[in-house]
Amino acid sequence: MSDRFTDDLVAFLPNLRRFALCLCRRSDLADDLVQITAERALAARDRFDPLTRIEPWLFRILRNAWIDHSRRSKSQGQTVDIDDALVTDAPGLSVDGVRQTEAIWMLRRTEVAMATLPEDQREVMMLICVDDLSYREAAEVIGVPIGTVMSRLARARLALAEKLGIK
Amino acid sequence: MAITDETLVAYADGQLDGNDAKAVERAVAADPALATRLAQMVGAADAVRKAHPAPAPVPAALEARVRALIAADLARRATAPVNVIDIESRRRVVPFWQVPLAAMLALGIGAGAVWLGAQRDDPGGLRVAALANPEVTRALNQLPSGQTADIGAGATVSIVSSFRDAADRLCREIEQRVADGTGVVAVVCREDAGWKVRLVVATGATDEGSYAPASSNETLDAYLSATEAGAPLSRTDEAQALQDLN
Repeated sequence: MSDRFTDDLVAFLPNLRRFALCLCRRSDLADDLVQITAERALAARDRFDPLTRIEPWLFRILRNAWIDHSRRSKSQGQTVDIDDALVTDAPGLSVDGVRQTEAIWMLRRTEVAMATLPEDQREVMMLICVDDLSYREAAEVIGVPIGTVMSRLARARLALAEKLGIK
Repeated sequence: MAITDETLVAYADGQLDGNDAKAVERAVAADPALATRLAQMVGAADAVRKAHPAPAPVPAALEARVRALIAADLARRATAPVNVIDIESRRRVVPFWQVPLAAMLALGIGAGAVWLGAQRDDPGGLRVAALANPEVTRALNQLPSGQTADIGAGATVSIVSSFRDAADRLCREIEQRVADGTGVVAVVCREDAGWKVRLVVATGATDEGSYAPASSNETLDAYLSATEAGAPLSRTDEAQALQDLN
């Protein structure tokens, strides 16, 4: 039996997990958040308006699950050690060409720069620049006015440009 | 016009309409510092996009857990009450002593089971008498909630829900409708190997297909809460209860 809602939910799990990782930066916790999101989405599916996109709705559930978790535990604010992040799974540097190496290096630097952004800026970057939500959808996910989304997005982009040496 | 960072980022993302976008373009052309800022906004978004291609698949164990949740949810929905009125949600406002007078009269009569059978041979008799129709009894004994049976002469009976009363008797809420569109809603409960009418409320003519008007629902609310009616039985529980009857 084909079920659009659950098909969409399963298809979107990788994006949910990536957003969860962006928020909590721990893969075990990210998996838990995704599972909680699936549970809550199934329980609330009668309240989902099928005329709207499911992506922002699921992101919002996941984000609320993260906030619930943060309230209960003290793990919020735990940050990735930048040196560790660079060393642990840095791609093997190939000798194929300087350009490829530079490209990989730029990706790593971008990841690290994202990780050092404040959480409120990092999440708007993920939602808008990576998962292609509209400003309005991102505002609904986060529960703030659209102007707040825009100012966080502008600050995030300028901070990233600074860290990445974009001029 | 001063260009704020918010306006600039919206321009970079193609979120501004024609006039606002043109204003930004003019300002950027005239101000190298602003042009640099725009390039930074665009470049930062590009870098982040490139660093995040399609997300990795989730771990197999996580996907398996989610699929199990979906299967469990599907099973739960299959056994949940279908097409029944939510009795819990109705238990609210109207105290039993405030039910409309007409309904109280019907109640008073309905409490006497004798009244049902007495009218059986009277073709012009009270409509409620039709509840004693064997077709109605058959429907009560067999039909699951949400289904409608034809009981002859253009009349139908629909089973709205099944529940148990405070004494754990099986009760069913039904709606009966005759050809002219008028009807009754009734609550009958199983007693002494038969169905006893507990409540009958005339619904009057309603638009085709619509359920009883609000006033009769209020009466039902009041009745159900006064008698401590349980929540609607699930489809499986209902099927079991009916099987136990027959």
